[in-house]
Amino acid sequence: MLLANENIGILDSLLLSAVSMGIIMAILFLIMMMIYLMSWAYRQFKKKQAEKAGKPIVAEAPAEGGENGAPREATAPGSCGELKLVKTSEADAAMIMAIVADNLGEELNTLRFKEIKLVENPEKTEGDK
Amino acid sequence: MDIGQLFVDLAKDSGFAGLFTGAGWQNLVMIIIALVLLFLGIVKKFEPLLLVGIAFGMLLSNLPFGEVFHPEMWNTEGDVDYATVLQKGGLIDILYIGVKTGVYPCLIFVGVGAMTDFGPMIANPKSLLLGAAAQLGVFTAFFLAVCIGFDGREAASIGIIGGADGPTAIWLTKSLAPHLLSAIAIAAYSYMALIPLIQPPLMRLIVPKKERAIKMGQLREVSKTEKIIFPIMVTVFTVMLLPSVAGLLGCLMFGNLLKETGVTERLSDTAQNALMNIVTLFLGISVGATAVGATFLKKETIYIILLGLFAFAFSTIGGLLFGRLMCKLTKGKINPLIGAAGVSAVPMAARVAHTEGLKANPESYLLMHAMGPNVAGVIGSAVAAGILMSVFG
Repeated sequence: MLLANENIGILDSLLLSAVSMGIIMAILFLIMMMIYLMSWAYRQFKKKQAEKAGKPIVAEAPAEGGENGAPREATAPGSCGELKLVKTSEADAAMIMAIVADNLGEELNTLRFKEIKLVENPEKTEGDK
Repeated sequence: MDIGQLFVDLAKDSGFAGLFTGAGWQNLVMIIIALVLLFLGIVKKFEPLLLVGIAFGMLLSNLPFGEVFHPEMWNTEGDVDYATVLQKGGLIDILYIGVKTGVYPCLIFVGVGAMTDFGPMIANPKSLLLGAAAQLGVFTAFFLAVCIGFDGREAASIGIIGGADGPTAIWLTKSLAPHLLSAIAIAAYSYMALIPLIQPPLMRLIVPKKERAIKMGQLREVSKTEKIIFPIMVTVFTVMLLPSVAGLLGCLMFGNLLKETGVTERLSDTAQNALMNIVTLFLGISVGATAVGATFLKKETIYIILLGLFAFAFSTIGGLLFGRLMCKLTKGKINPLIGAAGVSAVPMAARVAHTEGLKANPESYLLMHAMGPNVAGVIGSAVAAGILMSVFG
């Protein structure tokens, strides 16, 4: 529209190129800021929702090794955060957690497991011989 | 009835005779070019879904007396007379209406949107800046084209090849420089297919091995709600800011919304498959048909092919240099190679960045990180096209 019927000179084209790159950068920068804002608002909303439901809120840990430093997404209501598995498969961990809950007579979602670790090379006792 | 004369008349009316009269040699050259493109598409698998259609359209419209496409109906100074096109046009004239009106590129964008996962970009919004930086080639080629002597509208259409996005290039060119459409479409799709050859040398030249070997951390998970809000938010914001991108970006985001809502699976499936395939078919054959000898065999076509290569190279360089800057600013948390994926060309450019990263460090998996700038490049090139359309349209 601006230059629809006009020819463009070399200097004008250079100027237009620079301005256009600037506009693209600005628009995509604004979209970037909106995404940050949207993510932040979404996390706040989920946090408030969890508070209203009266569930414990787990503090959000920063994304481990994440290059953008964005905090991790809030865990689902009722979740007790992360469980660290050391040399243990998820299937084994699930079975161990179910057995512990059964032995204690407690609901599984009321227990908090921090870590399940495979103990290697256990020293054999006399009774094992 | 003179049977002998009948055979003479039939021979005169045949395409073979047409090849040796008037500008028939140009058709012959175009038929050879079409066969070469068919070879590249079928045997070398260079963007076969589009290149085979383009090459066949080119072949069809250059067979003398075929009358499937009439360039004179379209290359008019004023508005196209669609009544004449519908009454007297050939098969490809009718299909070409979708190109001329900009319907096909937009419908393809619905399909592209339905196939695109913006998750990696939402997880790492900084990758949008890489998608913006990788539009450098668009404006470098635009500037060079003006220096060579193309007018502003032609230069803008040539520059957009650097956006590495076929539908965007077609969308802009059909409005600004329709006489260059076939050359620009062929250049854009050919170079997109050649990305694995164009980008790696530039990556090794610009990014030192130490930076190429950087291993990036795990991206955060993006919730479904964020993925649903994103296309709506980007459409409203960007179209309000730059209304000329409404067609392209709106369709891209509409397709993506169909994918992410989870309640329009049938529509998403249609957009990704049936619609995409049908439109690709029509687009390829009708764009190829515009490459008739009289308009294609010019020195301008060679300039366009060369400028297209410049555009791709400079877009890659822009992304890589900005990637290096971000690497420095984040103290080595971003591998600059992902900047090269900002040239759009989804997902080829992301795969190339991933492969080069793996070569430098076998434990580095860049694919998902490169998908962020890659899909940001689609938005970036649509915005670049919107700006050029606002200025020259």
